[in-house]
Amino acid sequence: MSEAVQLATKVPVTLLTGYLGAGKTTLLNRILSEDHGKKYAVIVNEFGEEGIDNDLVIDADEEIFEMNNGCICCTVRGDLIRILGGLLKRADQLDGILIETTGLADPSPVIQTFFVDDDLRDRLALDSIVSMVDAKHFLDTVDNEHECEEQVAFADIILLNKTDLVDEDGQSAVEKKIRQLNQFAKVHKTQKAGIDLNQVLSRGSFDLKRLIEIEPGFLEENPDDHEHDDSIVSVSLRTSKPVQPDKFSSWMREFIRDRGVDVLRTKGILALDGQEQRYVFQGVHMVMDSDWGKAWQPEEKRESRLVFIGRNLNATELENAFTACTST
Amino acid sequence: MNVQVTDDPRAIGVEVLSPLVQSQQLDLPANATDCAFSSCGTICAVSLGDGSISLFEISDSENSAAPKVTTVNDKLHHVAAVGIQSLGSDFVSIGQDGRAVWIDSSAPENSRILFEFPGAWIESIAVSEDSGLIALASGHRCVVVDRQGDVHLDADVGSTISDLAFDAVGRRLAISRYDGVTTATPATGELDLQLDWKGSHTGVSWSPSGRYIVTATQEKELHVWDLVTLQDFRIGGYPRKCHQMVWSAKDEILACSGADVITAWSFAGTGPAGRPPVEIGFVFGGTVSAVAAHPEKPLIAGGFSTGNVLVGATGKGEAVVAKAAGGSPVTCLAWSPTGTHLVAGNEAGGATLFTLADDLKVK
Repeated sequence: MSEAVQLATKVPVTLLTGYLGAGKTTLLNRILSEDHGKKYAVIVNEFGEEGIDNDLVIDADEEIFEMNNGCICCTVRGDLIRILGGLLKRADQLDGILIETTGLADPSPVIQTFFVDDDLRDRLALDSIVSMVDAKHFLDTVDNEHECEEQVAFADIILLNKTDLVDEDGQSAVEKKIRQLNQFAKVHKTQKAGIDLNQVLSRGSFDLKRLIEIEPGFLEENPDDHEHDDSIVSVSLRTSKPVQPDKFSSWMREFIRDRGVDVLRTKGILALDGQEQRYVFQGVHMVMDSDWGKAWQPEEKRESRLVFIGRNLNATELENAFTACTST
Repeated sequence: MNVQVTDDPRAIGVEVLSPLVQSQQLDLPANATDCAFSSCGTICAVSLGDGSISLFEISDSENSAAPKVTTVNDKLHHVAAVGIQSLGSDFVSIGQDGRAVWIDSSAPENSRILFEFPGAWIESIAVSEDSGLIALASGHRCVVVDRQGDVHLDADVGSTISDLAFDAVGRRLAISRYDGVTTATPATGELDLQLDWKGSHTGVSWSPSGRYIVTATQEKELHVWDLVTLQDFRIGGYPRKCHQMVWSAKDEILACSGADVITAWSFAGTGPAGRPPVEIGFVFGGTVSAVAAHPEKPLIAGGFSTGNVLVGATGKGEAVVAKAAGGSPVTCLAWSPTGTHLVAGNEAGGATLFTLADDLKVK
């Protein structure tokens, strides 16, 4: 198949996460029942609703297996490979596929599935990780539940739902916590999961060609070192000095090899020394994807940005290591 | 009738014998997922992504070497039909509507539900002409029925089943699942062997001699169990996952998809360990997506992601181009019982029916 044909037929896949009761089912029901003229399939673990087109709701069984490829954090969802392969055999072209993870699941096996399976990569494109956050209960659960924290940390898009149940100060406190965990996600405030679906679906968050800039986080401060060692933090690094490709690649290779288990997500846009084009990359744990992005325009400030989200991240150490990559 | 031009520069290393292969295009209402010929060879059935089954009746044409084709399309499944197999002159299809449907090829309107898994997908089927048994799998559950629909085995193997394969005589069944293979004997209703190898096994086949069970894995390898020595080993090096495996009828050769050539491993004598495979019919930029073994001669047909269809000899590696590149990826291939015809279904909703000369030889 030619490259052009492949691109034209890639179906976007959205991963929907969120703690129990955050409003995932409400959003899925909207997507399945509203008259938007598009056809979406939904892969769920359990779906109680009746009166929807059952052919488009498929039960997954969460069969996770480890790849025998030596990557210690590479667990993959076998059921998704099977179910998505089955959906691709259908004659009807889908406009998109949503995968709901259970309220407690770590989404990384789902994400890694898209990186490691060639058949899925050819035909599907992981579009975005969307996390629903319950504005009322988030702050009560986030410090006690790793999964609740991880779901926010992994997200590209966050729907801060049930904002009608919380006053403005309460909402600000939730947003502040979200930004500590994740500096690059787009946050939308919603009530009853009410949002223009175009803001949620087919966003191309994993498309490196569309990674033009990392939106500046709400909170531009990195966390204090040694504060809570095992809690998730988001560390943002930037520099206006040209980055030396050899130094950067050996640092990154070593860092991801040693710390990949702790690093949930990575995104970067770099101005490499002597290169016209942006160097863009992203990763989930140890799985990394990189490409050349848009060329820097003459009037643009050649600023490199790098965001790590993970556990046991020491901002000072990372800053020093990144700065070392700019010395000639 | 249309004799294909076979001097396609993308098919390299291929012996061209075009006058011996004639082809004609068949229209399908949707993408082909599987195909099969009836035992009499006059009916070809293709299962489709919209739930339809297309039946092609092939009869000799007086004025041309290409046969006359009559088509019946019947939407027997509510959602995608994903597999079809022949049993005698009839067929059994399976679908994502959870149904296995018995198709009376002389009167398709009399088709009946053979077995149903309500609200689930049936994802695999295996049949045995010798024992007359039909094995079906949905989720963790494997059910073996006869043509009346009477259940001979109903077992939960504890993990999702990816594929099924009968042994040559249809007495035992290999069931691939996560972390290995379970074998079953439908006559006793028993699960007997548990063959374990960690990981996701996506397909299974049983050698004609009964000695080897081979699985394809998510890791782009084949895993082989030798039931005589009770040893198991891996065969690696595939650039893509192997989706289809077939055994050549007479010579204990396993042909596989997943590479840019058809790989043919000889399991005769001491088996494939330490011996390279015969590589048949390289297509530049293509991946073998479907394979089928000639019922009598040592020939393998391979369909490619580039749309090519080649027929090659298992012992040598040379191949005849049956169809040049173009069109969409080949998803399924089936030979008629005497090897006179070959059908190739594709993703775009077409099929090609090939008529092969009696004296077709691959040098």
